[in-house]
Amino acid sequence: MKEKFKYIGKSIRKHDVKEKVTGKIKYAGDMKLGGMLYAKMLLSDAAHANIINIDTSKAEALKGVVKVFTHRDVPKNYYNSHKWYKGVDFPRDELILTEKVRHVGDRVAIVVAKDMETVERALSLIKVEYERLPVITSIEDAMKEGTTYIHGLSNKAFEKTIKCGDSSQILKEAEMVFEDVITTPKQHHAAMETHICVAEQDSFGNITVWSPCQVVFQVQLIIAEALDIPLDNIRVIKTIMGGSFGGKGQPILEPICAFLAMETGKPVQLITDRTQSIIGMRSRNASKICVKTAVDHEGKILARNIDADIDIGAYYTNGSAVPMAMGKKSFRMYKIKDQTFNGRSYFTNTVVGGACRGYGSPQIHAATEINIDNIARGLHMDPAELRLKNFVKPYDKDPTGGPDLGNARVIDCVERGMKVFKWKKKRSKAKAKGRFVRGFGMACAVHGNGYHGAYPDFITMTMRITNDNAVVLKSAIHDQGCGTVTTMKQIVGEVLDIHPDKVIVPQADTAFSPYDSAGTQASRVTFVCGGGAKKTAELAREELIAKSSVILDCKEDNITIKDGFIWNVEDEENKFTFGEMVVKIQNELEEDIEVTHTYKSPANPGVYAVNFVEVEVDRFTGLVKVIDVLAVHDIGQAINRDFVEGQIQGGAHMSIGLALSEEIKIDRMGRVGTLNFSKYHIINAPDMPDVRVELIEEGEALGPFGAKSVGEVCAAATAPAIINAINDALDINITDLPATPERVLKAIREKG
Amino acid sequence: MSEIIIKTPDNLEALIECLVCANENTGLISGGTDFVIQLSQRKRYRGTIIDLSRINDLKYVKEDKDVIRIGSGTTLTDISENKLIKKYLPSLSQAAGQVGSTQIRNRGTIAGNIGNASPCADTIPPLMSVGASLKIVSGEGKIYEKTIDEVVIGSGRNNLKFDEAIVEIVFPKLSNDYISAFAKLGTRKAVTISKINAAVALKYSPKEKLIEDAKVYLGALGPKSFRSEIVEEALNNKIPSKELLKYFSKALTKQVDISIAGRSSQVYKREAIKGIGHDIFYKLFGNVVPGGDS
Repeated sequence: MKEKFKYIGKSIRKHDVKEKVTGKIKYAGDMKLGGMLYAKMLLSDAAHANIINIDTSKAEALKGVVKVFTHRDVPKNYYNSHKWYKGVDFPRDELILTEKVRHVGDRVAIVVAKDMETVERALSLIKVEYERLPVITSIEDAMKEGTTYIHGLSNKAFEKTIKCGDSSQILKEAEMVFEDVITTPKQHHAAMETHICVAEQDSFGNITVWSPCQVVFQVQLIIAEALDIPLDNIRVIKTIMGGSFGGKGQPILEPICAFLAMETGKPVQLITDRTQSIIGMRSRNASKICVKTAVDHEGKILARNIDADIDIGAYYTNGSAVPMAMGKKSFRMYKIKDQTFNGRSYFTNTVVGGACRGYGSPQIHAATEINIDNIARGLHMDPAELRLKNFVKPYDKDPTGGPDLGNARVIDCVERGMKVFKWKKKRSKAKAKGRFVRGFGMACAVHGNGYHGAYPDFITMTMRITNDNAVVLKSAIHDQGCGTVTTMKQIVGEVLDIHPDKVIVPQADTAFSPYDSAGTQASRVTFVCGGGAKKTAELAREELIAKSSVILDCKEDNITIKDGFIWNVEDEENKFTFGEMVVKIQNELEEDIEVTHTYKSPANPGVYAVNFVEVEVDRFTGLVKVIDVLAVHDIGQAINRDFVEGQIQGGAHMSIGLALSEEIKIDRMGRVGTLNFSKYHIINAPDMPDVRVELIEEGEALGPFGAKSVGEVCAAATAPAIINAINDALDINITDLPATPERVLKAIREKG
Repeated sequence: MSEIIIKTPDNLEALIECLVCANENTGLISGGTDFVIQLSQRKRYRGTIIDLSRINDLKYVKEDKDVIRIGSGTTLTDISENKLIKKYLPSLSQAAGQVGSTQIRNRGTIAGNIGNASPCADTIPPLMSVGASLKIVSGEGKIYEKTIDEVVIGSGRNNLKFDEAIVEIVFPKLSNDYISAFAKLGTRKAVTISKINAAVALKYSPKEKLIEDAKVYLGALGPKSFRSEIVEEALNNKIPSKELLKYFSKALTKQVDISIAGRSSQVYKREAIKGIGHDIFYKLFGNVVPGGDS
């Protein structure tokens, strides 16, 4: 039975779309504060070296330069930018500027000047002398005994096993074991807006920081730790986001910019260019994953062993969280009684890893889903049918003791997709013999809904109904451009039966927003923050009804709320807007309609994505064109259908890039070859297929109106589906992502 | 602040006046699609920029008795869409239509593509294949012609003096018997820098069915586009057929093996050039040899 909704599921326009497309909205880069100075960093061009000397004299002599900062000038408070609340800790190895550079792109110096051109000029006048150290650029190098260590006494940063049952014994004895080693590259987030930050100190010594960020309270915390100043002297305001995809999840520029504002006593804008955002910010971790799966003749998975080695780059950040996230996903798609996941992270002298849309899901699913297809090939089975024999079912338990899977509808996704895509018919087509050959592939992915079961996952929200007939929802939400604000408006509008236009949803500002435990992380916003908005609106509704019954002198049961009006059901003549009622409540009762609620996330169900794709491979050049993508998603319930589709289109785009062309290329010396978009190829419009979207909306009992997450899971399944389709087209076995033309031709050549 | 002076002549005389004062710190700019990027990357903060984009007299494609004349300021979009060029040198039209993105082609000019002298410049192979020449004006007001081969050194260098500017590109009108085609290969379908490009011009009359006078130029396989006699030989005096296509492809591979022997890119390019071979062959002979789609 499906509920009928008035605003939920409708494609209401994003609250700021007009301001964005007309270029009127102000980003952090558009900010101009009185007397503002400009700053940019000098990033290392050595991959691993001690700085012997930095000569800043020429730069400082330049007219307009305020100051040049080096490691000698910055506080030596080590921090870890991944830490997002007090109570959790990760190895601290970051400093604002470093004396030992650990990757090309490490932070060497900062120039602050009166204008940007002077900044650039001064940067080019700084001379750095390095004592070069041996460079480690791969997981294999990092593992070697007696090699150079990037931090401490080992390049292994983290190691953890997650298991259920005893897979090793079964794998040893099994008749059929399929083994694949899959590698995935470092990926750049490629947000249109490169990293930027503005900071200012007031006469009381308080710092205000404006940043397009994902977690204001994390930014506040990291600034406090890096500069050793009281947390509550720092105010962080989230600015309009020009794209993040996880890249702006960890505070990178914010502590630096706050430091510059304190040192100069002036407002400072710290900017980066595209090259800096590729080499000096964060990236998706590269991985090398070995999957061994034992199956029986019917295609039932008997046991699986996954060894995942993660290249986290030069600093720790979330080097433990990514392998853990990967591991957890491995147990939540297929029912495998005996399974072991070993995750290991390694330091290398390469771009630093961080959050990146999917947070390990794109890597782990690339590995396991390519392996599943190879099993199907080995058994001469249809890969969709093979999967259907092994999927989890709704309300299954997590075998490792993780949160319940909830209404997990991956089977529905596959069945719907097979039908809509005409999977069987397409797969059974004979392959063309000529230059261009078509292939068909599919793959699945699972992701979560927040931190419940792992870390504190709650949000405090305040709701006030104003005497001018608006509903204000105050909370620390961060619209990343995906429509979070409008999503909240729709949820609140549905609960209060008032048009979402009447709902005002300001975004995160540590000075005025109630506390939120995790910000925009872990696909939690719709499920957790949306759940909080729903509950808070329900409490406001109760309060409005209770107080209105006093005003209207009737029983609460007699109070009717509809289309933004409230009245006594026995007095249809006298309907009031919420605002009119609030005026009465304020004047007659000396009371108000304002509630504050702390919402704890009740669950963390799985969300599922299944992609079916068709590719055309040019056997001569190795170029692959994606002809068709069908994305079927188990999302519980769409809050805003257009936003869901937008997420899926964008996720597919990022995933096609991972499959075919995106890769931060780093040579043996640690030099980065892909310094800008002429070399780092994201999928552009001529190569982007239409993505067809099918939604399975069976409702998740503990999500707001049945909703689950979508923004990350949608970036995980397309890549393996494409690889499987390429392998189907040519009967080859590509296991290294991206499948560049060179790799495709190599695979064809090796097949002979 | 910077000490860059920008001069914007709007006619040829004014341009010559600007060139008189030119020195080693003078740069020429038209669409700016390469220059502006270099400006910031090379940290250039002083000097003079002569902006040719206001000289409307340099934006044209004209037909003379024996030659086609292209004004140096003609954009790549205008060249790709021009009827005369489609008629007399389709390879140039095809090449211009595949440079960069739509936005780049709308601003970038043909003289810029030549003067920038990138090893993978797309308009150079077609122009070389018909022996195009460049009309150059100097600060002394002299106008003279040099072949494109003379002007382009390659690897991003040309041998124009700092007081010289390209004002016109001239190529001979070939007789109706001549056909031409261009193809390129990048890492993706569009908005891509050529890993290999090639232009072929040859004489072919459907009546005699014989290929003669083939001119084949390959790009991105060395510092600058070069002529491949091996490939020309493979085509000359042959009849277009599937067998010839194979032979042609093999010759292309052979040329790659010679040109970039031992380079890491050889492994891929020697095979992938087959795709270019097919594209060009079917552009030239699609109407006489079936099977272009597969």
